[in-house]
Amino acid sequence: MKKLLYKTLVFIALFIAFDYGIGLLFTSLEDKVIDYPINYGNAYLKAARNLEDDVVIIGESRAHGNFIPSILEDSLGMSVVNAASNGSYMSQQAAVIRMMLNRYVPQLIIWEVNPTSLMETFQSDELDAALDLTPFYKSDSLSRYLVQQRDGYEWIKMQSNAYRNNNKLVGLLLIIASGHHDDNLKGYNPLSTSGYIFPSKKEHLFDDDFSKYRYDLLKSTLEFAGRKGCRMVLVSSPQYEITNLNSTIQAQMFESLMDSLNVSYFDYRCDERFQTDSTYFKDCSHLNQKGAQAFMQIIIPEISSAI
Amino acid sequence: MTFTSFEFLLFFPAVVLLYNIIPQKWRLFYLLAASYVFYAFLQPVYLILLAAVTATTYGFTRWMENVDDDDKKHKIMIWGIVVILLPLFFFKYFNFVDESITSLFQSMGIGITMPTIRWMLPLGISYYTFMAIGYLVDVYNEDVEVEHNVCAVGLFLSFFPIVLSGPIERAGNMFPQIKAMERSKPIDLTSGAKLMLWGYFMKLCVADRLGIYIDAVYSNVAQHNGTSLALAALLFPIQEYGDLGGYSLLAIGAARCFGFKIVPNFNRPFFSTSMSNFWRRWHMSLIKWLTDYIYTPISYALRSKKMWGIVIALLVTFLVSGIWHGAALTVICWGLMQGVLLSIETVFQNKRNNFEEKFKLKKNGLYIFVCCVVVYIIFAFTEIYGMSSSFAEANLIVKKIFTEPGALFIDKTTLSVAVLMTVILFFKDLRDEFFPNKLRCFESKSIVVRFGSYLLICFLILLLGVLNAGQFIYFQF
Repeated sequence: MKKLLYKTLVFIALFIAFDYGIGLLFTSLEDKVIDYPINYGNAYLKAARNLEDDVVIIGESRAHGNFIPSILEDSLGMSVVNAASNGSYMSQQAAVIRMMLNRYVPQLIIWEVNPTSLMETFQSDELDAALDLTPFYKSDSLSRYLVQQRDGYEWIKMQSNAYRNNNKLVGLLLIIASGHHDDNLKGYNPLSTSGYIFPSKKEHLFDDDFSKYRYDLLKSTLEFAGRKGCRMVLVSSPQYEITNLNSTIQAQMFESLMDSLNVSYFDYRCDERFQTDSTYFKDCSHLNQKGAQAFMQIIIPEISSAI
Repeated sequence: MTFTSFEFLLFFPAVVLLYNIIPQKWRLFYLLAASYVFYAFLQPVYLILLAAVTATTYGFTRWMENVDDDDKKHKIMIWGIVVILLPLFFFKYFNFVDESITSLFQSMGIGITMPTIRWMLPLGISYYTFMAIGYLVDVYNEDVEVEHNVCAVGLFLSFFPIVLSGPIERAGNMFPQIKAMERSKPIDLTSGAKLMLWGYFMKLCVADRLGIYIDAVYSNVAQHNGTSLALAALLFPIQEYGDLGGYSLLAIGAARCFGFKIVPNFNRPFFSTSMSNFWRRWHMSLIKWLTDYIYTPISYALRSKKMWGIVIALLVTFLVSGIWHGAALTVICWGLMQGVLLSIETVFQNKRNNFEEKFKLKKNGLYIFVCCVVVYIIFAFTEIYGMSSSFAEANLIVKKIFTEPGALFIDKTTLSVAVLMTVILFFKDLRDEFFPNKLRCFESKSIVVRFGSYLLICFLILLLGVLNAGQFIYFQF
């Protein structure tokens, strides 16, 4: 039994050493990928560490596929980057915005977000998505707080570098494998316009569902941006659906918050121009390339007037 | 608390450590208490049910022991089985029967409403019910002696490594080990830990990684084309193997850390060259149970009918297997499909043997490979019915596979990791099947190779495993 104990101790020591080595490996991989063209796999890292553009687009897959930086650049005369990350939630986006604002202040942040972000019901998915913030676990208190909400033992698990980087290796390697190609898209993810059946309109009904915590987080982030001197524009992209969202408490609280903070909010979720044409959509929630181009033409005057 | 939860990683070593510290006379009560605590973490209310099944099993076996008349003993056994099956029927099959009767009456134009049960299925009920029935029948057949200590019966039915998803243990294997319960030997601890490590790999790196792709496709059958559905259908048996095979290794490994040797549940099933061979390698503890308590008695009773007796026994056995797997017509149909396939194989077995002998195919690598692929594809096809929630869904999948080819839905990150993990799993199984003494990793004589293998698997799990996935597939059974 003594021999087993001795071997176990040796194994634990080796495990700790290898884990430390993995931490170093990931630090160097992260340092490497922030020099590569922006992609949802490195968008958070770049936003937090090296973006310097005048306009930054933040959000989830809708922002990723609906906002075309090149069109915005031509119209606004400023450098624009799309730093959206698929599957992310308002709380993670808020953490990224804060980290970015602590490093530099862009002239404008376009935040693709809508009143569903104030709902309580998404919480379990959101907790899993918080793992995207683990690269900032040690350096950023809000990221650490969001990650630790996952469960009571998360702070213990996060001591392991390997656990902290769970599911990140392939994403980082794919970015490196894609090479230093020309970054014409600047983070935009064009969704195809053919090869599928255009969606049928779906009914998406919501109950009153309001989270005070999320409201406070959104409010404090907008206030933080204001204190830093950064202009924020919030946008809800078109969706192909019949919805009662605007009559819910979460939507009312959302709009009253924008009014009280004097933040521009453009709600195109139920815009008639898109509701009558399914060919603008890849699916009920996402615009295709044709839809994104049409959306840019509509939103550019609004954004121009807001800055 | 499940095997993949962080709580279990704290709970398990603590239970093993204390087990080895306390005096032997307390170990039975200690493990029983630990097992009940483990179950209580998941479903505290249903501990009462587990205790009730234990008491019922204990009561009927003791009653049988005190009776000399064989007929009366037989009646006690039958009543015992009926009483033990009642909770299983109530929780698992009541709504299914209820809905079936309602729709039958509705089809005859008679509108009736029946009471429905909306309670959660008690975890492990299918497993401990079968173990209890097996014990009762073994006592009747005088294959095992009646256990007089109710705590031993309690531990047999609730032993925490196996209570949730098996393997389905037998009284004859468990009671002598429960009586012995010596301090764990170093070989028990190391063997158990190795089995658990590989079990975690199978579950978290293979099953749950494949599950991301398969769930994405199967959760939206209408939107996906036949090519993507075919890939999902082909990957599903590997996911299931990783899930239940991984769980079984975790269970066997955890039990081994206490010195218990639990029956194996899988034996490299994808190297089967026939369906009968496959079912001797897949979920072996269930098939052994069904063979001993259903197939053998029926085929013995119908021995005068020769081949047809075997065919009927096979059909009934796999019908029961289907019913055991789930209260749905699709799953029962899946069970019958297995029975039909095995029956066809049995009927043509002699012809196949002659063919193989004539062309000397038994050791022909290409022939073996083709047979393995055919068996795999047949099983994967039947699983479309096994996993679908309705015939309409299963038929839609089959129809699309054969009529709607198209571009494959690819999630590059998920599939690349899943393929890599599956290759590692198949490499190990291939080595174990054909070169058992070559390229040993966990069992290498070199400590560098051994430790290197442990570390590699640990870090594969931590870096590439799906650490936030759901439950084990077989928990629903």
